[in-house]
Amino acid sequence: VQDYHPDDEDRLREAALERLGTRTPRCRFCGEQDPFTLSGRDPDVICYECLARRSGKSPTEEHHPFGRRNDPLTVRVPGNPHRTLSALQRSWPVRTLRNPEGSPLLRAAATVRGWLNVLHVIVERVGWVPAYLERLDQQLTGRLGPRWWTRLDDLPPDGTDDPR
Amino acid sequence: MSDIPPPEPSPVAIRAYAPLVGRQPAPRRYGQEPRPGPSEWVLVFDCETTTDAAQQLRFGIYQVRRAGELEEAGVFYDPLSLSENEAATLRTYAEAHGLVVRTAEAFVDDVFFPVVDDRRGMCVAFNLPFDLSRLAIGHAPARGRIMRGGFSFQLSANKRRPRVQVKHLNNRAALIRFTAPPRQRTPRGMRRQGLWVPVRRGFFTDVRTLGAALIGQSHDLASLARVLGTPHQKLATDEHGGPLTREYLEYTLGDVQVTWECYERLQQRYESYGLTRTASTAIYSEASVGKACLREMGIRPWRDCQPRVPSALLGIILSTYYGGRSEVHLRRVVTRVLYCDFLSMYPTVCTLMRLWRFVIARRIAWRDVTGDAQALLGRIGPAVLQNPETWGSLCILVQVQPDRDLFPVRARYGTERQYSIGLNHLTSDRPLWFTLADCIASALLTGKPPRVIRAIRFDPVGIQTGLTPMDIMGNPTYRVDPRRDDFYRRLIDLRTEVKDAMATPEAAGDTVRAAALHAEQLALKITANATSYGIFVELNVREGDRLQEVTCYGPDGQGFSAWVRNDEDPGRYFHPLLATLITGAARLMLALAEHLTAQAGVTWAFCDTDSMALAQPQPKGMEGADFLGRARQVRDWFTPLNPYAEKGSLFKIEDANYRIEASRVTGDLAPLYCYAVSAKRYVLFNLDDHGRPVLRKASAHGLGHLRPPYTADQAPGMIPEPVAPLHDLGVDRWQYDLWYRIVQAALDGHPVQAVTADLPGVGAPAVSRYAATTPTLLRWFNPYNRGKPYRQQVRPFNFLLAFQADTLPSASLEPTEDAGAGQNRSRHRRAQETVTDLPQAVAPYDPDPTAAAQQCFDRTTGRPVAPGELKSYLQVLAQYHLHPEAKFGNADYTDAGVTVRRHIVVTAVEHIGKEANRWEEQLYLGEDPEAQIEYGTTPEDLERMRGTVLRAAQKFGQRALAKAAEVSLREVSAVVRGRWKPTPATLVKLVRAIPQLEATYRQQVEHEQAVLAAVRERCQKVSLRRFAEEAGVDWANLAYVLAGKRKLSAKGLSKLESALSKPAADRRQDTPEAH
Repeated sequence: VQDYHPDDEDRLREAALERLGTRTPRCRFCGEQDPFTLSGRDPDVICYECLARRSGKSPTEEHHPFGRRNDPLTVRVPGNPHRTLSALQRSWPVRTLRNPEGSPLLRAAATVRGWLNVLHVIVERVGWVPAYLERLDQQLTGRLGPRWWTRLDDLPPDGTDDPR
Repeated sequence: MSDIPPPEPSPVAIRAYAPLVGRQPAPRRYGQEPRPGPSEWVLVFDCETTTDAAQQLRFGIYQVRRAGELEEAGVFYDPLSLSENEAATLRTYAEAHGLVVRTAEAFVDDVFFPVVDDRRGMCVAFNLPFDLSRLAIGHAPARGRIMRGGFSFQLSANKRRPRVQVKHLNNRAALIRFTAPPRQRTPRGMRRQGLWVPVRRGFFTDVRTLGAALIGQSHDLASLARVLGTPHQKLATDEHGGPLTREYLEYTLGDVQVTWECYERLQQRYESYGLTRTASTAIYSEASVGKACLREMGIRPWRDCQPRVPSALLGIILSTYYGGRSEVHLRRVVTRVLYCDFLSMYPTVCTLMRLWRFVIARRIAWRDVTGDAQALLGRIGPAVLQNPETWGSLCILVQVQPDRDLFPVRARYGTERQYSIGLNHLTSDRPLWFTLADCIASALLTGKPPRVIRAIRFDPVGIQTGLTPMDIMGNPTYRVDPRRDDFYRRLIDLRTEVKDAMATPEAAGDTVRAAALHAEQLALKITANATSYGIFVELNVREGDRLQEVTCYGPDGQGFSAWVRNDEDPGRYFHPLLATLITGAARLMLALAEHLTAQAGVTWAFCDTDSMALAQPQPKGMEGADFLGRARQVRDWFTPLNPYAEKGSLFKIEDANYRIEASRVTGDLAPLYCYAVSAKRYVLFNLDDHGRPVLRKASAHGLGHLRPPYTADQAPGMIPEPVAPLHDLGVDRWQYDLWYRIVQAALDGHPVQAVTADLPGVGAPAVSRYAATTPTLLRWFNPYNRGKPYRQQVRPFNFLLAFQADTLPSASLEPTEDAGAGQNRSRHRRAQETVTDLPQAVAPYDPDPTAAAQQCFDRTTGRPVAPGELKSYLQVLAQYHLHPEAKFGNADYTDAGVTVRRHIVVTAVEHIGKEANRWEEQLYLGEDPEAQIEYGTTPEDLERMRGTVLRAAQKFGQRALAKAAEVSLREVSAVVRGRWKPTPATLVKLVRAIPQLEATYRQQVEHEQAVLAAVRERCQKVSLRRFAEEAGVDWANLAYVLAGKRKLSAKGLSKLESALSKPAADRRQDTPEAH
């Protein structure tokens, strides 16, 4: 059984980039950049969700957050994060992921890893949000004052900055 | 024309175009195959080895970096090569410096592959092939079309890991890549869509290769770090192979850091070139930079733009191709000279001939201009050529009927086994093609225009679409627009500007600014040179594993079938028309210089591609000032031809002509003297107040392959120190000493006896060091390796030693157990090994050449060669200063003075491929005729040669012909009787032997006539019958011979000679009158 290697995510990511044929891949429809979610060859790269939508399939999927062998629990997640989560699961130690004897300790390890992966994806996908919100607050405070949320109607309806 | 020497029948060779039969060229996919570049990971490592024959890994240092930041540094070692104490020293050192310690095996599995393979990191080392081979646990010859001739290394016992293939290209570069892993690379979904993932080849950078390509010179790590100005510089050590010490570990650690810094600087320099369409891992030489420049400007190769050029036309074009002209005119004579060279010769002729139009053309058109060419040749002269417009109309190839004209002739002159090119008188009953420039050169030098049969003019048509301007070095000031600018002129103008701008910071002591400008002018120079010639004649020899049929096209435009093992693959920007026009025009420049020197009443000593040493006529009838004045006239003649913004003569006076003071060149001319032995083998020197030579420039030609017999600090004290750095002189210290002694002997009036016996170390066996860069070279060591564990064997890229055998050893005739090395020799090769062949001595590496000589063996037979049978430096160098120049008729060992050109009469035209194939191997190990691709001759020529052989066999006898040609009597007999169709090679050998037989025959006839004249004289004194009786021959028979009615047999001649040589007293006693 293969031992855990902390660099496996790097390895998987590089393999995905190689498959896509570029170091800076982007979905040509939505701009998704995570190589785990993308398919095709540069420059015809498309993410899973766009591909699913264009072929009439659901862009969401059922995900086993702790591995199918550890827990049958599934949660419905968007297709792109599901690709990332599955890739991260592949970098787990094989014994933990498959848990052939049903060891409770490995099941516990898988639970922790599953949550860590979810957190990892959250950090990757929405990690930029807090800083963005803080910056937005700063901008709006500058334009509408410290209680800007009470004066949102003062903003021009067409979204332009110039009230004239 | 009256002093043309007697004709010499000889086959001549021309370059041919020979595409494979039945194989269409694969569609090129440059840039069409998306591949992600390397990741931000870099592995830098260096190995230290034992200094014995095996050069086994002892330990190594590595750094793993991510985005330039050091992630991990460590040390790896071979547990079997280090003693326990050494291993303890290593661990202690590593602990103190925070280094991770691993075994070599763990390094490969846990660092090398995870970084280089899994993370797609860059693998960096200085001389990477050697370091990779130290990590190998097994090797085999590499397979595949591209890598055949290289090695495939197994680095890991893990079968899932790819092997690493290394194919040596030259002493600067190697192709390195991973093999395809034995598993499916493309996911099923992609396969369904018809997509595929290319093989992961990894990313490897040899700092030595990148440095040589971007700086234009080969460097070792120390000098490269100096040139690049890295923060750390390489440390020096004498401890290679000694016990492992802290200092030695410090040295190796420093090496890795310096390697990283050099890599970083080179990457920055490459990025500054702005060549975004070519990765730095694809840069193997200056030519790669040139190709990258053309690609950056969106220039498509000619063969892509115009794929349907008739092969017959390509054959005609290639048949006109000859390299640069290099020859000696005043041989082994001390002469005062003015040494000049042409400003950027190849870019200059490109500009004058406006060849850039061809590079960017959509296609090329050609038309017949026979009348125009004949008319031009009829009125051509220096005045016409001084007009730059004339050069633009020289894009013409001419078919001529050579009749004692002066043309470049490629032949095996004298006893040479390889082809060389000489400007010789040529007569041929079949028409041959040359460039118009060569025809003009002939007309200038002979005063007679060649007879034109046909001429083809080439013109560019249209301009390619999609061309984009390029900023050289990423600097908008250095913008070149391929549509509007003449690329070559712009580059040289920019370089001149940058060089002029360097004066200000240099005067102000601003070394940083000066260094930056120097790097820029170097980049401009490299770009100009790399795009102006070599890439247009790039033909890569593909080694095949079986005979393949090619259709060979030569000067007659008719293809014929030939079978060869190796074929030639044209490079991306292959454009033989440009290549031949450029070199032809360069030869015309030299011919002009030669013509002008004669007109000015001076002469010349030697020339080499773009330089010529104008010489004071001998014997001295001209004052020095007068000579300089006339030489300056020659120089100034070229001023109107200067196409650049900064005016001046194209023919520049070299630095060697100027006085040197305190190791710096001044602006005053000092009398410069020359002693030239043969092509590329010359020395230039001044004379000091005591008449002793002061060397200014010397050639290492014919010496560079030898290991120095002594170091600079062991140099003999009686030879003055060089006045300029040895690097500027162009030689090592021992080579400097040798040339000093040669010049000294010439000045002292005994030029044949150069005293070299007192130089240190010259009594030791002369040794060359080379590396086992191909499986063939390594195979010679099979007997040595047999029975040894892998780690003790001589392996790929190990250093090896080559010696020169003195005499035929007696042992070579005795069979030994180690004769297995020769078992794989071909029948043809074995047949060549006659008793006249000397052993080709090689030995495993040993730092002490004398100890290595003990293990010497003949590489072809595997038989040992005794040290006493090896040539010493003294023996090898004994005739260095007498080296004959076979392309001339009067340049044998002791010949001196003005060389005389040969007069070659073409007996057959041999079609050949690339001439410089495997030149590096031949430099160290001697000439190998099999390295030359030979397509043979046309069927008509073969028939003609057979007729020549038949006539020769009748005249000289089959036995004599067989002996002279080194062909078996049975073969000659079979050819004569028509029972066997000889191979072209056999026929060529037989034809080549005929001039030698003719010469011997002429000598014999002359000797016979002399003997018969003496006999007639004697017969007048004593009667014919008496003399016949004394000689023991029949008197009637002798009478017939003397009357010319009967041939004299060899036995009869011998008897007559014997009778003539008898002492007079004896004869008197024998005569009846004496009684």
